[in-house]
Amino acid sequence: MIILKIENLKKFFGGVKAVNGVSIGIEEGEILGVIGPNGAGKTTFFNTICGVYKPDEGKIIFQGKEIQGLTSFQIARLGIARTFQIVKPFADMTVLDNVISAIGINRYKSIWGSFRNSRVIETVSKAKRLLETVELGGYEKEKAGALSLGYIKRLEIARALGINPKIIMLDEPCAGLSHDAIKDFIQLFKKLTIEGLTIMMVEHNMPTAMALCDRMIVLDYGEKIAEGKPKEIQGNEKVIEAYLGKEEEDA
Amino acid sequence: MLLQQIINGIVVGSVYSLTAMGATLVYSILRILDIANAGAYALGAYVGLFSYVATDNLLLSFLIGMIAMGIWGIFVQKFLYLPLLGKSPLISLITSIGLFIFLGDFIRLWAGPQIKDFPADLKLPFSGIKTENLTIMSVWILVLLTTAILLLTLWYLITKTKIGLAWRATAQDLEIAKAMGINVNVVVAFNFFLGYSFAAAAGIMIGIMYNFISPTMGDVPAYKMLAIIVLGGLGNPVGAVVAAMLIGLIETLVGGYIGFFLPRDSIAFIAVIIILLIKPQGLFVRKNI
Amino acid sequence: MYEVVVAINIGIFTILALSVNIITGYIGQPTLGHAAFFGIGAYASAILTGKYGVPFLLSLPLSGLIAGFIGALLGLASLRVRDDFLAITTIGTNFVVVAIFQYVPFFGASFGLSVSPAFIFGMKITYVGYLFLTIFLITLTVLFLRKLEKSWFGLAMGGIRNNEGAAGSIGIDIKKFKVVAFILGTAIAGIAGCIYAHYMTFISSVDFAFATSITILSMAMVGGSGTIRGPIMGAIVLGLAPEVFRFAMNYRMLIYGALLIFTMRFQPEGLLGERSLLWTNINKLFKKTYSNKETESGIKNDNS
Repeated sequence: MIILKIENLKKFFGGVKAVNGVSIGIEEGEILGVIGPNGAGKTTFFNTICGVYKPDEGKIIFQGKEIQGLTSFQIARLGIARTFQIVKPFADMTVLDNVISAIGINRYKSIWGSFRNSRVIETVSKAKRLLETVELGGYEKEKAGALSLGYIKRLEIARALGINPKIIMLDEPCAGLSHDAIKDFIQLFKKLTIEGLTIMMVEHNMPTAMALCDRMIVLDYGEKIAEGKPKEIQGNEKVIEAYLGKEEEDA
Repeated sequence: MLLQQIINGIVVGSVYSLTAMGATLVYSILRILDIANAGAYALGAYVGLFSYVATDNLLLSFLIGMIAMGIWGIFVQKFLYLPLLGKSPLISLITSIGLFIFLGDFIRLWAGPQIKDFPADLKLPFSGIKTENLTIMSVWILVLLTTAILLLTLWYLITKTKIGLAWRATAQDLEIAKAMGINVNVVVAFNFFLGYSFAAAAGIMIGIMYNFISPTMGDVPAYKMLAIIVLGGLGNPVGAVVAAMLIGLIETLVGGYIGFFLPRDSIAFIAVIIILLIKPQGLFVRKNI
Repeated sequence: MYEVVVAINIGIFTILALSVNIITGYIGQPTLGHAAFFGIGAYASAILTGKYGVPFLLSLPLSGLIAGFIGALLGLASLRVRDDFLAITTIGTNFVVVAIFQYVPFFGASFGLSVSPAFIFGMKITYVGYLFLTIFLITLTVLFLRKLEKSWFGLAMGGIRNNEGAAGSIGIDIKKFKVVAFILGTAIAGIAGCIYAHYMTFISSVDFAFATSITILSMAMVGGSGTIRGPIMGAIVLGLAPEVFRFAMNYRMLIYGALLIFTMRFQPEGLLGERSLLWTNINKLFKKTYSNKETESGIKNDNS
């Protein structure tokens, strides 16, 4: 079943067509990779889906409901979680509070409701469980800002899981991590999809994306140039050209 | 009458632009709202006055005041502002306010609380203009000339010299400038030297123009210059000059010509609030000049 | 008697420092015009009781409401004007409000306003009465803030303070929480203003000028922004400083300035901030008896 459907999505900045008519459907429980050379518009594509930017054109349909034009907090409340390419922890709060704050997603709907105590046993134990999931068990009381990059990325995943999402959008979760950490992450993501979560991820590193994704789309200059299983993408001439072309420009 | 008010507005505006330039330069690099710059403005005026009494040479006392405050600026950035870089902006703001309070009281203890005349016996090589309905005092011409000379010097330093290039790179992005091998410490020191010597020049100028200086003379500029640098797009020197002129004109025109039930200072702030609500980034979005 | 006067003053400023801390410390918005709302509360109560015969006990919450209402407007402005631009807007608000008090005849203009004495249940409030009233209100504020810190609202404010983008991604409606935080902070300041007006029996615009805003914010920052203990400590330290240094009368402002500089320079988180010298040592001292209980007491079983 298709959980999230994107139709002809467009986002322009002045004359720059950052996202130009991308369409894709995401199956429930799959890992969909969004890849492409630098500046292909992957993060803009993500940010437009998550409500950071309003699309100039196109539809975003989540579980049969059009959600384009909603703001990011409204989209989060529907069950679309995300992490950030440049990490955004709540740095001066404890690791535990970072996750608890996400568990409160439905408590923020009314001001009166939000005055209730957040440190009740069920939320705290749920937050602890999520921290265990991402292997941050011993760091509950640390300030999030004091963690290393790899741990902050784990924390962001735990925080995203805190909102009980149906789909989680990961923006380069493996960038800047060691080999071992990437292996851990791959296992974690596979485990999450087995539990029924849908994952959509931007990944810059081809081998990681190949190992992880069920399906991928390739963006170049804001347009979708390919879609398919990792094997199919690997041999796709357009994709090779896009990556090689970029490398020549860089050199 | 209208022409007279416009000329008044321009004179007030150029004084403001000189006063705000110091804080603008500080902001451009460190993103600190430097209220203590107004302390250097007052202290500079006193140093200028005492130098003038001692040397009887106006140009020399300008230089002494500017250099003394410039060195003070280098001291302030090294021991107070640089160590606080990267912390909440409110922390450096409170530090700056503390320094401003400290300096004001220091001046009071040192030079006495009373108002002092600035006995500059101005033998200017030009005279004022006075017709039936238009007055341009000779001291105004001096103010306009000094402001023009100082701003042109600043423009030259920033756009035509090597350190100016480094300054522009640092103002754009301190971290990247550092990575590019620019000696950021020297640039910041240079920046504070300029910023604080401008404050001193403005203080001396005001002392001469109104013929008085006092320990509290920095109180009004302390917040008004913040309004100007914010309106000018935070740290954009050209924007600050335009904003200063604009505020000078609005104050004199709305206050003097049209007449308004609130005093000058609040007219300036009402203008700032309205402009910010329309253009939340100030009149000039910050970019490299 | 003199001690009581000093204590009431410190008490009123404790409430003010705690209230500005909601805006600057908890939700992280710069505000340099808090004295304006202190003043709005004071003038509101002076006019309500003086011109319209509203009883003090009713005027106390009303002055909070009026200050909070105008605070909501500033909160709305904060959605559009941000960071240093917002700081300047709040300074501007302070100047404009003070100018209105000073130049509009309805507010007594430059003569100021005399305020009718306050009665509770037919009894005139004495100085000692004001002291108790102030302590009572500090207690209420602290209890409220403790609840706030542990609530979802507190977490939402923490999220917004740290990163608005991330806060949005976990369903926090940033606009709504910002405006409400401004309302809370300014309304509490308004209530402090009401007490101040009746206890002083005379108010004028200078009491609420920019310098007062600076004092209030300095208290919160010197004590330790973002905590409850900090602003209380700051109000006591900076409130007592002029009394303690009475022997050095002539150097009071010099010392005051130096106090601000040195605290911010060497204890930038404030005297009782999370990682400050004093607070870490206090924690060490009580660690043996405290650390075990802490985990338990933070979490209560509450099935709401």
